[in-house]
Amino acid sequence: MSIIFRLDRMMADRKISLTELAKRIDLTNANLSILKTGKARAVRLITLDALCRELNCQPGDLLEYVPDKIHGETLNEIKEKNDE
Amino acid sequence: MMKLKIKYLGNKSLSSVMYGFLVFAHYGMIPASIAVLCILWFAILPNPISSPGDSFLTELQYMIQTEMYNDMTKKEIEEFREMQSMHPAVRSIVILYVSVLSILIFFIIGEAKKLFFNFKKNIVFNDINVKHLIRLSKIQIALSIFTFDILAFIFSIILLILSAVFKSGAELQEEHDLTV
Repeated sequence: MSIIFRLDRMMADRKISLTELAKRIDLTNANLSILKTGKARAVRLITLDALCRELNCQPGDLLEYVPDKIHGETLNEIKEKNDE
Repeated sequence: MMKLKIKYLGNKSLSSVMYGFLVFAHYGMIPASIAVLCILWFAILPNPISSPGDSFLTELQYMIQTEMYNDMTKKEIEEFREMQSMHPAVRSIVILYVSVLSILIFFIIGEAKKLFFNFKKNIVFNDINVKHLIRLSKIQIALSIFTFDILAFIFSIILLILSAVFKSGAELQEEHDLTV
């Protein structure tokens, strides 16, 4: 998947623990952990809304698009080409 | 008019009743199969005897044969005596047939037991259940070929299709579980 959830980064910036955040947004530790470790397949808008509210950020701060391939080449291949 | 609410999955449900029954059947099959095979061994393999002999085995054989004749009709007794007059190798095939049948039924009950155990725990759409259903259908196909039973064959095809349905369900379940 090319969409990465930068929840761990935001949690570190706001100095909030997983348990505390889960409690605030009414989610279980397990579910929030799924989100944090990048295993989630989908995120409900209501969850994203709660996260942005508690972390005081924009959705774009939490979501990042990292393409697997650009025009058929992986990022590592592009990097190697640029280094050459 | 009162509506009857039947719980199908989870604890204290129809699945748990089925599981209990299958546990009983699964473990009960072992001594029952051994008993049937022993009876068949004594009744079919040795040559028929007309009176109890001196040894314990011949006395047992005579007792089993007499009991069997008491439960059979005249036609069945004639057919049984015809089978007893066949070559011992042919008679031993009957015992082999019953043994293979018992083993297949034992495995079918075993797989069904595992499936209903998961239903009892409310685990429905799961890859493990898909595997159980596929295994169950394969053993059922083998049993239908062995017994030349077309209905059993159709049932095994239904089980295969059901496994495909459960596979789709498992994918949707995973999607649901990983949606935060």
